[in-house]
Amino acid sequence: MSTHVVPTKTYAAIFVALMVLLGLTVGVAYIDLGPLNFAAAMTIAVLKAFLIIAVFMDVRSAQKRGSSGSRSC
Amino acid sequence: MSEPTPATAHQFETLEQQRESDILGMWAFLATEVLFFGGLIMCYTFARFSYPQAFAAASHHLYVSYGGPNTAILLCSSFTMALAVRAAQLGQRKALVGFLIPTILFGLGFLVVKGFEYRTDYVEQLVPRFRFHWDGPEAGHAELFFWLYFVLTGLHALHVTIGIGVLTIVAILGWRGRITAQNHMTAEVAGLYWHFVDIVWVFLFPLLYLIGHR
Repeated sequence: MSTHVVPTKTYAAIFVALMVLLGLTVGVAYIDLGPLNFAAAMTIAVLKAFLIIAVFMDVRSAQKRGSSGSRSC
Repeated sequence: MSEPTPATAHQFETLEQQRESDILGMWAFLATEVLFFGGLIMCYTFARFSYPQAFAAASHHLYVSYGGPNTAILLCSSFTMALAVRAAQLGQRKALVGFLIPTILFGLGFLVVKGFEYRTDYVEQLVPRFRFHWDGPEAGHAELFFWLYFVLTGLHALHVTIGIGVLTIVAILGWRGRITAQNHMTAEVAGLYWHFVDIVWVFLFPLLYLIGHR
């Protein structure tokens, strides 16, 4: 049974990054960038989703597990 | 540390295989959830690009002072959720419950803020059909924005409510020692669901709240 455990520090760093991105997305909304406002908001949202999926939902280490070939069927 | 048998259901050869199946099952469910919310967000996108002025004006009536803190609350809950799953992986019973409780409280906090926000929307006559009053031009298009706002945030709030229920069950199981390092999939799968609900909000927040400010 090879459950890979992510260090607490990594989760904390991702949490801080998510909060910074939240601040950024609110800040950018108040600056007039024309059509780029929408692009900026969506880019930041995708980035936040990526961080959550890769680290909190553990897809990153699941991929490592998969590639190291621990499959038995 | 209690040691109940590492329950491998009879259709699985190994615990590892069962673990992978559990996770795959949840991801398959989340894929259907993406289709579910995706269709609605597609409607939103189409309407928004059809009526950009009305949507910007309507969005301006939502309060970033509700939506912003609520986003922060959900991000906090995702953080404590990740720590709870980590505790489950390590078989730390008390830490598991200790991180699930704040996660549940953050979820409840989100719903309370959302409740106050809906009340404000009601007072400001922004509830389509039921109580809607619009002074500017394109009242119908503005009303469409609020239809989408209530459907999207309402369905999201429903997901948060279900998530709170699921996490409460996980916390009770954890407290009873039913979640161990060997067999922690209940916590892991609940965590995937909770993070997904957070991601939905990460998109809803800029789409609904942040388009009318510049």
